[in-house]
Amino acid sequence: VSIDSNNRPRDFPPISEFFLREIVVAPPLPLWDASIKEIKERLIEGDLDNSTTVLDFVITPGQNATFHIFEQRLLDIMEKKAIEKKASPKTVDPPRIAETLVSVCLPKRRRDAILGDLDEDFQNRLASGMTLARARRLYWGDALHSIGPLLLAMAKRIGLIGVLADYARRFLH
Amino acid sequence: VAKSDELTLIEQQMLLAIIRQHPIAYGVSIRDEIKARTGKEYPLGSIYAVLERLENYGMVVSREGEATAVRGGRKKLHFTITGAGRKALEASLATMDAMRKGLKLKGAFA
Repeated sequence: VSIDSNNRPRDFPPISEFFLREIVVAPPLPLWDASIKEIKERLIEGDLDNSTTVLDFVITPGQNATFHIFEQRLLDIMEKKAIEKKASPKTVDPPRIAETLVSVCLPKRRRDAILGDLDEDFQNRLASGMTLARARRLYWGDALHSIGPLLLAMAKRIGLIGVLADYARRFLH
Repeated sequence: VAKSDELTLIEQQMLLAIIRQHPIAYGVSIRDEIKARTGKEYPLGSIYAVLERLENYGMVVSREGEATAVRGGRKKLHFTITGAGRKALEASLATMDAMRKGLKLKGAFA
């Protein structure tokens, strides 16, 4: 990091989740140590992975401005992450057995669409505050309801093919 | 292929829901649209069985959409109505309108 005449960083490296690696502090910096500790605590509170954070540049004495800008950017990232986390709550997997049952019973061309729709309903119910147990029960119900009509439609189709095959066999013999 | 005036009620409802949500209609949104307007909730299996039938008739076409995390990374299947589908729907609704024309249902069965 180069510093301008006002002791402000020039071409400050962009900090991103992928760029952040580790804090390297040039010794000896007792004052900085305290600040770093504080930042690390904030990192943990902000749910950033402490083992894979923070910077890959060296903080040296006299780079006060650099450090504060770094800290501000770090807080910005933490805030952004907190907003993202709030906006996209952690997803829970639907019942595996029901999912497998639907996968096995449905034709490939419809499988992903229906499983995706069932999953969407399941996640929306959880997001609306429904308990996991109830959401799982409803998923089972929806899964079984989804298989029935499609299997019936398939059986009808196969039945028609069977009748046609029988007619063709009689016609040929 | 079904005749244009042989659309069932659910087929009419589905085609109308697809038109209303053009061009992003998919299983869940079609079901929700019908539920919001008629109060009737069809299971997704019924929705897809009818969609498959309509697709076989050439009345709707499907295309893969985007995958989202809330869908477990699975893609949506978007449906749009074809010219044949629109024609069949108009004919079917016209038949119903013709039957209803001039008829006063209110108090007819009292």
